[in-house]
Amino acid sequence: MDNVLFTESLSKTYAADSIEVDAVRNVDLAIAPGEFVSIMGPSGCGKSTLLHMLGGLDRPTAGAVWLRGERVDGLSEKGWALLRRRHIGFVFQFFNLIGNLSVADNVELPALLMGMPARQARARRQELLADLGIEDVAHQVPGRISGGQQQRVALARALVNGPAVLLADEPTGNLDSASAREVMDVIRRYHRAGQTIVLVTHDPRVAAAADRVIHMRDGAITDESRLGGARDSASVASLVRLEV
Amino acid sequence: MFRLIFRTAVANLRSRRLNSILLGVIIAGGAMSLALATGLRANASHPFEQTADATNSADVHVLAFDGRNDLSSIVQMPGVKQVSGPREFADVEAEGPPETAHLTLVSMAERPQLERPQLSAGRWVEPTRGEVVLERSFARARHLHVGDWLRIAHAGSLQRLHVVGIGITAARGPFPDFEPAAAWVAPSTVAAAAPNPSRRGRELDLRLADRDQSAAVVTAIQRRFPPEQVAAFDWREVENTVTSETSGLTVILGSASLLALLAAGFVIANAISGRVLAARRDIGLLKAAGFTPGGVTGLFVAENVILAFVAGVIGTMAAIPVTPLLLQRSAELLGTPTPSGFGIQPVAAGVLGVLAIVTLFTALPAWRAGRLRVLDAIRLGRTSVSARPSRSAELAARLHLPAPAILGVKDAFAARSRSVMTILSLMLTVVAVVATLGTEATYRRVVGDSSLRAKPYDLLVESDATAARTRALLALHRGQFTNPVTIAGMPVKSPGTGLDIQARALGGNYAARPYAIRQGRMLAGPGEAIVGRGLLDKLGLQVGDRLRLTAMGHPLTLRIVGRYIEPDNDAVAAIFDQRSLPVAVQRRLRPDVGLTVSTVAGARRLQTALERESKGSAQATVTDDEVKQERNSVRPIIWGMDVLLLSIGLVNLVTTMLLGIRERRRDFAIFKSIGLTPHQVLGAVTAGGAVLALIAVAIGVPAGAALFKAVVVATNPTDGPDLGTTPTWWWLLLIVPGILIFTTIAGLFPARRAAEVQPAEALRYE
Repeated sequence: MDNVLFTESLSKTYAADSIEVDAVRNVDLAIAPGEFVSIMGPSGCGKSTLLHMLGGLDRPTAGAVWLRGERVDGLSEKGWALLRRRHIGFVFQFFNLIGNLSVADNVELPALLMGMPARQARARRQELLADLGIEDVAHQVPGRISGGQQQRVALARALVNGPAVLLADEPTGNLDSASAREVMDVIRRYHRAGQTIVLVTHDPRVAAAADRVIHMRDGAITDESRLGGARDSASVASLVRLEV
Repeated sequence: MFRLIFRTAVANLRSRRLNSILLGVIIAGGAMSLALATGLRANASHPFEQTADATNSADVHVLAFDGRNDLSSIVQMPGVKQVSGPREFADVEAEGPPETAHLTLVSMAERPQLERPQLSAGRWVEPTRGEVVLERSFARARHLHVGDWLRIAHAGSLQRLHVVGIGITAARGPFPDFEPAAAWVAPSTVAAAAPNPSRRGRELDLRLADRDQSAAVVTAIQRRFPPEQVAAFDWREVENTVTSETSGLTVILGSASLLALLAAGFVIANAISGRVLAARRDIGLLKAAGFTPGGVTGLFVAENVILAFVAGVIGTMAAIPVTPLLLQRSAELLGTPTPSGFGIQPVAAGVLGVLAIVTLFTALPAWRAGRLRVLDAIRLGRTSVSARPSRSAELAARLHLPAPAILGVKDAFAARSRSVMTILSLMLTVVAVVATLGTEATYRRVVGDSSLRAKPYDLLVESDATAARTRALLALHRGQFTNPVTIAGMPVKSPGTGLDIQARALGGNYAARPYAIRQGRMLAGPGEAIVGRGLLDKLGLQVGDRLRLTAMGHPLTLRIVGRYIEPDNDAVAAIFDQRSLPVAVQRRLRPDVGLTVSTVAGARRLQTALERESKGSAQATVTDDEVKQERNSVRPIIWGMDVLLLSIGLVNLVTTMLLGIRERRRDFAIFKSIGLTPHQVLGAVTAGGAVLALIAVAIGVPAGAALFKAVVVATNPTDGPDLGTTPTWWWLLLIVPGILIFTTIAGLFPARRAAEVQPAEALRYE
């Protein structure tokens, strides 16, 4: 099966005051369609940088990225923007919703950007918000709703164009445990429906929801474990902890 | 604590060196604009007093037209404290171009203490013959500069005088309204110009113990001497002339400088408050380190005041050499000394004004920010937060605007106070442009219709010759003009009130080219009069009432049939048929002749021919030229102020947008993360600027029209409302694309900065 996302020797080096820091080193990664992959590691290990490079928010220093069979690491900024619009959904730790647009407008915005007719964008937004159980906050501004609700809005915004891959950067990192559980339930549900997901976290319980867990340390992949079959999150968490 | 605040402030400034330099440049520019605008304002207010102070002007001026009268008795008069003169003078004619003008050569080997002309260029005359210092308004009107040669004629002989200096005086109003103009020469030059001593006059200037007694002293002198031999006038008479001639310009310059002051203040306020608001996280960290809200406020005030003081001093120092260059023209038009730029007011405005603005606009946002909860202030991942959805963005979405435009419209109000300041600053620019367009439209209308200047003719021929000789002269050019109308100006009085009225007695077919009647009708024959609004107001009369006058000693009763637009003498004026006067009075009239000529070029040709053929006895004026000359004088000043305001508006817009972009880098990163291309981010920022500009236009156009109306009324309280012309709608409509282009250009650089934001960098929080 062709991979949705594939990287080859992906590297990122930051240079400041003639000191070079390797944030990501020779990462080879293959994400299959419908796969849910967690990237774990301590703070500063380069997992967010890797995720940003997968979504074109950051440029690799070396290596290659393929998305849906096309090499994309050399795309212009505009090319990446168009690609993100159509095929990549981003969810961030701090939600990053647009503060003075309503929830409804936040969700519709990427659809409108992609050229979806307003009526269709509205229908899609209503469908998603209902699905995520937040249709009653559609006309609120993000600042007026809870963190869990904000992250669900961010998910709805990321999913509105039916992306090929959902990139989630610590999506539960800024939430209490109940809200984190709700958000992970949603992510799992979309994964079950066939959504390809790459999630960055340092929480083993969150990582345990994935099909595969990739461990990073000092910018490089140090370990990879496939979590197949039926499992409950607690048992997987203990397994992951042992591995680390 | 004070020492800690000071040291931290200096450290902060050093650590953000580029940012501090940029802000310093903006403050220095603002200080320079403030100093310039204040200098202009000071120069435009009370022009006569400035000139009088600069020249130590006398309270009473006495002119003896020949050598027959002994002026020593005047010097002995009670109340006279100081005397300058008597000095000899000779009236001569200065050769054109454009035409011959009367000039008084005053003998002044050295400048006296009292009534001391101030040199604005060149040097004073040497005792040797043939040098002249010209009064500035005369030099300007004749395009004469230091080093040029002036040709004068006296009693048929021609001489050349070398212009060695240009000076100003408060003893006379500006040429050509005040003629003859003054020129100062060595005694030998006066003697050479008028060899016969009996043809030389003498002038005497008096300083009184009590300046308010000047009118009484003038009356006393007038009682002692026959008016054709000795004339006396006081400082008030000159002040009235100067003030009435410069009042329009004073109001225009005053309004423009006020707009510039406000706009410069906005630039500084905008930049400084934006800097404080952008330091939200720093404020949180300071509070976490133990700073109180007062300490935070003090720190920011100290930091910005240090910067403002340095930048304010630099900006003000830069304004000092620039001020005389920029304000020279306005000073020339107002007849005031050229501002040095080192006055107390500009320096105070440039330094203290800037410090006051900076302190206020630092303290307010810093105090507000100082009250933030520490955790809220230092929380990472903060994007723009709002309590309710952006209504403008909702409107944009309903209008089905493209998504970048919706985001831009929303962004325009992300920082509301800054948006309001930018709108106000842009609005001032629009106000200035609308007022300028109004001035242009009014001039265009007045140039196109000479009846609005109470001169419904194209060429006015004034002649020293008899009426018969003038008629004979005109007969030579029959066919080059139509509809000759005689106009005899005369002072008349209202017998009950003693009010001096400017009157004109008309002859010929005056109905063919009527005056600009605003109420009632044009006069149709003897016994009727049309009057100015000032006369109606002063005498409490209305159209239809009877007007009793004393004209040249004869009582005259006329029926007021209409009110016309009269720009002179505060519209205390009346026009009637000369046949209303007794025949004896009619015979004494020496009327001018107004001619209708089909083209301005034709009028100029006829003017040249008549002046040449009359051998100097007739002087012709093309009415079109008068207003054009005035317009050409005022235009560079008004346009210069527009350029200044546009520049300030441009700086303000760029500053605001740059600060907004720095504050909201994270938002732009989010835009990019959801798929906005760099061009779309650029479009969003530009759309935001355009929204502010459109609001500024929507408010600025009516505000500008109102300001223009107020200026017109202040300039000419009587006929201003009738003369003031609103710019045509399509000119006003052109402001919309004009200001949009302006904001797009202003927004290009900040928008590019926004488009270049690296999302990973802006969103990094690992």
